Amino acid sequence: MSNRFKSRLDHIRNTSPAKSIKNNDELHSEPPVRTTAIAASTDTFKKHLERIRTRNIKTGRDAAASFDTKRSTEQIHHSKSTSGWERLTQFCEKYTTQIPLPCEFSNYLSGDWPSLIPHTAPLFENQNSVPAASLLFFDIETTGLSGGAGTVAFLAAFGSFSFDTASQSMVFTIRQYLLLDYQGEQEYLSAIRNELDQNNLHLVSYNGRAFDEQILRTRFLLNGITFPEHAYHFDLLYPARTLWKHHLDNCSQKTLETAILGKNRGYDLGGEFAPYAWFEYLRTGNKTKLLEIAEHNCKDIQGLADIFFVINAILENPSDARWAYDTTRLGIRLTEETKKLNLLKLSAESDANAMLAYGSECLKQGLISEGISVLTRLAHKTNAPSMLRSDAFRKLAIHAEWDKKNYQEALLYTEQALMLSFVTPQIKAEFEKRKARLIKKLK
Amino acid sequence: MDKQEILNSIIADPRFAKNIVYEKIIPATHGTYSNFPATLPGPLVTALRARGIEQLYTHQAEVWEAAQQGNNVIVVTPTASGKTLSYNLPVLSALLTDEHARALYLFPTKALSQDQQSELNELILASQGSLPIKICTYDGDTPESLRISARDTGRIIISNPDMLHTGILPNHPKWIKFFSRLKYIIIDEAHAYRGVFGSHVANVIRRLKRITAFYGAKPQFILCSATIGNPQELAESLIGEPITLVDNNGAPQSEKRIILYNPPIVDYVQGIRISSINESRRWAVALLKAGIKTILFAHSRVKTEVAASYIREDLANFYTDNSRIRIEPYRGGLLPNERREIERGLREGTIHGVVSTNALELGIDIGGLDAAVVAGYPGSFNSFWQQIGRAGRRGGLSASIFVASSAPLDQFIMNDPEWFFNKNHEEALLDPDNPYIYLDHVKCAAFELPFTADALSKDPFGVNARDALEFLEEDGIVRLSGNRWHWSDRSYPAESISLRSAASDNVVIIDTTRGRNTVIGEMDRPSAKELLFDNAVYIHRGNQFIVTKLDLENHKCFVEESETNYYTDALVKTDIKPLSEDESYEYAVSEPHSEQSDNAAQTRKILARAIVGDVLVRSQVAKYKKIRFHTHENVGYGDISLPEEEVQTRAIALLFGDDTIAGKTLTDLSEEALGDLLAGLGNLVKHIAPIFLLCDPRDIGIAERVRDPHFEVPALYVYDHYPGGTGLAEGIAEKVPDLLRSTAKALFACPCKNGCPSCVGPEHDKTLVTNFFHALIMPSELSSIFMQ
Repeated sequence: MSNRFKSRLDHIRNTSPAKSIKNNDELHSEPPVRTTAIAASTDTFKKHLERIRTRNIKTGRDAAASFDTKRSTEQIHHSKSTSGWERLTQFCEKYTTQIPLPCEFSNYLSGDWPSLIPHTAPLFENQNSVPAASLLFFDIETTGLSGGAGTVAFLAAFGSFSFDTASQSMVFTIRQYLLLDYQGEQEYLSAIRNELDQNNLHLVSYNGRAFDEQILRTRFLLNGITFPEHAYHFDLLYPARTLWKHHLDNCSQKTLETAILGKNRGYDLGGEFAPYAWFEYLRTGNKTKLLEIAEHNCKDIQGLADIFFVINAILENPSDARWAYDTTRLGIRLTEETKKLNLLKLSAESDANAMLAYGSECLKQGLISEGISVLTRLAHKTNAPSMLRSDAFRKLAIHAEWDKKNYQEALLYTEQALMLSFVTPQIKAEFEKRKARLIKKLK
Repeated sequence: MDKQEILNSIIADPRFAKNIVYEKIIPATHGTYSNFPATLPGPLVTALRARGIEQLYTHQAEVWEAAQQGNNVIVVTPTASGKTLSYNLPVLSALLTDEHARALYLFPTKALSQDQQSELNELILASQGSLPIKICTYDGDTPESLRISARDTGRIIISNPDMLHTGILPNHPKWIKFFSRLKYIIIDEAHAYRGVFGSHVANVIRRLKRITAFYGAKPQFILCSATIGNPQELAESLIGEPITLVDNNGAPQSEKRIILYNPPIVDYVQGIRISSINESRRWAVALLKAGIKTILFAHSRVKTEVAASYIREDLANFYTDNSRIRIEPYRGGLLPNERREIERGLREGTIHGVVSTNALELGIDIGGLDAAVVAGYPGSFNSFWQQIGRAGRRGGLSASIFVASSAPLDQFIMNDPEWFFNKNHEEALLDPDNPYIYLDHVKCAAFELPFTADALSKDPFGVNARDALEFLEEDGIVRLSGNRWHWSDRSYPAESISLRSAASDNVVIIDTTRGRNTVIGEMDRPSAKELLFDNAVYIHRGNQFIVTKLDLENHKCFVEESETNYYTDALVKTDIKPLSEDESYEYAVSEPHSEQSDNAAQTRKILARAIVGDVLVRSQVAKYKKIRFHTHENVGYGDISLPEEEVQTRAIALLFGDDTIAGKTLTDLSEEALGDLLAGLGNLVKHIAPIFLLCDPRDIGIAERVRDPHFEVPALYVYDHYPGGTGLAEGIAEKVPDLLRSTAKALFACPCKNGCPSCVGPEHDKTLVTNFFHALIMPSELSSIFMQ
């Protein structure tokens, strides 16, 4: 292939029209005379590249082309590590800091986490209490936001709790790793691997299952390093959506921090500027923006731990009125019976969805009369959605038919359900079937 | 009466007979067979037997043999000759032998992938569990939920180059299991990868090879192509490796009858004939009524719908009480399930006739039909042969009727059928090293895996990558760190690089009749402007609608059922506006004064000038015609107010000012003659330039100006169809004298009397163009051209 390319290039180079014609000496023509612009180059391929550059600038195809492209290699390679940062290898720095414990911190996790993150159930079954010290909070900053093999994680932060013997208390330590150029990636990833590769460690992230972890896996793979597997990963995006989707415009970490924690980060260079900050550093050796991104990255870990323990507190005491969140959705998900019942009862006062869940839960837990009363109220609540009302009738009918064996009563519920307007044909058909069966049973 | 006799009687029918110009009979051939190779795994043999296959065609056995020896193979045989099986056998065998092995199938369109998956599934079902191979389609339509399992457990992945380019390769770490065991890459319909599109795909394949090499795999390629002039060359440029050609068709061919039919003249003065659509419909109706399954190729979506409606009307009158003959239109813009329903109907025999655009030219499986009617020359010889290849089932009838239009090209063919049948197949050219395209893919490749400076000679992109990488490094897009060039930009490069010239932004067609709100179709944006403007009559599978509102901003078009006695046809106006003059060229000739003083005094004369720069190619649909059904008379005009479709691209303007040799020859011509000459010259250049540029004629556009409003001299523009340009205009600039010389050669060597499709085009004056070149080229060279 390369031969073909070369011969073609040579062909273009050597056989300007004049030459090919000279061999053929009938037509005496001269090479074309270029009368303007672009510097003449003997190398056609490079000349084409120059043209492409002109076009790209004109059409704004590559924004980078308009940047200052000077770069100072020296500055990068010989610059001293920035204050507080420790040089691990030629192209990798580490920063360690301690920050205050999250306000809702507790030494052990609530056992109700599996209600929000089901795959963690075995963890809580195998262990009586899961210590906060077994958590590893992490967040990365990348050169691109769309992922893919060319996106590099140049900054990674890890946070964990440990017992400090000096102060005889728990402390929260954040360790950050910064990559200074591509060629140092191997060692940089080895340092990250050391963080991740510990027994009984559980990851905590915000949207890390889909993004951060995937990017790291790709980087590990491309550098031939195995990624340490973790059985449990607490990605807080999903619980946050369960709890706050209906309360907030969006469920970004920043929105949660402001709206739920009431915290304001102050000056904070957003993660979307991370690529610019790193590339600027690579080009100029100027670390200012990069350090701002590092600070942002550190705050992300801090916020992540705060959110984790707010959710933990909600799970411990769902009725705590300090937290505004979607009690119905949590109530439906909770597995612990008493908590579930209490929370749903609370929600049922104002939410028809919760009424259905509460009524059903009552029947399930044997609180028959309470269950029937709530479901009956819902079934006849004319301002509730028909779907919910038909669901309530269904529950009542099922209970009457199978538990009480009172077919007459079940038929009554069924017929009432059939009188509801705005229910789908499928639901109608289902009730019709029930009706036919009940009539048969009554005979 | 068997079908052969039926056909004879139709041909002999005076309503057709007197206008049949020519009949060509290609005799039947017997099949040549080969026993199952001893190395073919038992479960495969069982599955083949279960489908009634006891032997292979020789070409299938040849492909098997070559593949077993580890060679890349390209197989070129006609439609319905078991091409698919020839690559499925080596693939399935490899997947059976190694339970981890994987294969990748690439098709140029999504529709074709669907088809392939069902065919493979049939084979696997026929094996009753002895071929436990999971086949997954992975394209833009694959739901997110199925993607992970496709990547991890799909043994055969069916996809297209666009998906490979934007979705799969940039995310290759997710595909580690697949790429590390990739054994075969199948590229079907390889002839589709020509010109600029082909050059892009060749570079996508380079990237694919880098990735498989990274994971330690060295897959083999098997390609399939329709008949073209240079299949092996095409395949080798596409995959960048040597390849074995298999083109001895072992499948039996029934006798093929090709009839050239010239509709009767209605206006002797202007030479206008009955429209090819009306005449094709007569043929189709006669054939269908006689029980002959027929496909009619009409060359636009509107004509397809109109012809289908006509045929339906004709049949409805005749067969009111009889068993219905079902006929359907097939074209782009139908919903995928509608298309599939028609394909299935044709395969299973519940649909007897179909009217189609060139959408059915590619290898979509519709089973065998008996007859093909081609209404008007489809634009390329290869297309014509692919279309008539749809006719003919094993041992059955195969009749093809080419119904000429009044266009000069069609009439030329009617006047000289021998020329038509002796013409060579067109070549498919591509240029993987086009610097513009190459550079785009070097970016994508750097994103996928860094380039190692010392290992460029082993890289599929070759040593030239150094120039490209150093260039990108200067712009900060890649960074040399530790002897490797790394991608160092925040963007995802594949996203902004399209393999095809047309952006695929779609408009959905919504039927709002009586409060309905149903999506009935989908259409790409440029076509929507031509077919779905406000008040357009839109025919969808024979049902008439009128467009109430085309909302381009929201990608919606609202239509309502409506019965009109006319259909609409938009008039598209294209014009070119130069935006910049970036490079200017002078092409000079030197004439010796006399033979004695050849080394001393020479007069330098300018042959022609040229300007390369940006142009805006604007096409606008500003008006439409209302055309009455059946009579095709024009019953009125309407205005269309839609924004212009604009493409900014690169062009070369060849300028023939009166201070140039070329220009001087033009000064005495009347405006009309000058226009004719330039048009004829343009036609020649359109044919010859692609050979110099290694592109396809469809990649370039030509426009002639008797007096260019910008340059104020006679001009011939050659522009690039890809937005932004792919170096084609620059490529011509370097080679104008060569190009003119080759053009003259082609013209002088053309045996036609006064212009034919191979030279100036039948509608243009050959003498004018010939005289033009006589004036340009030295008599001594002329003689040598004539000698050759």
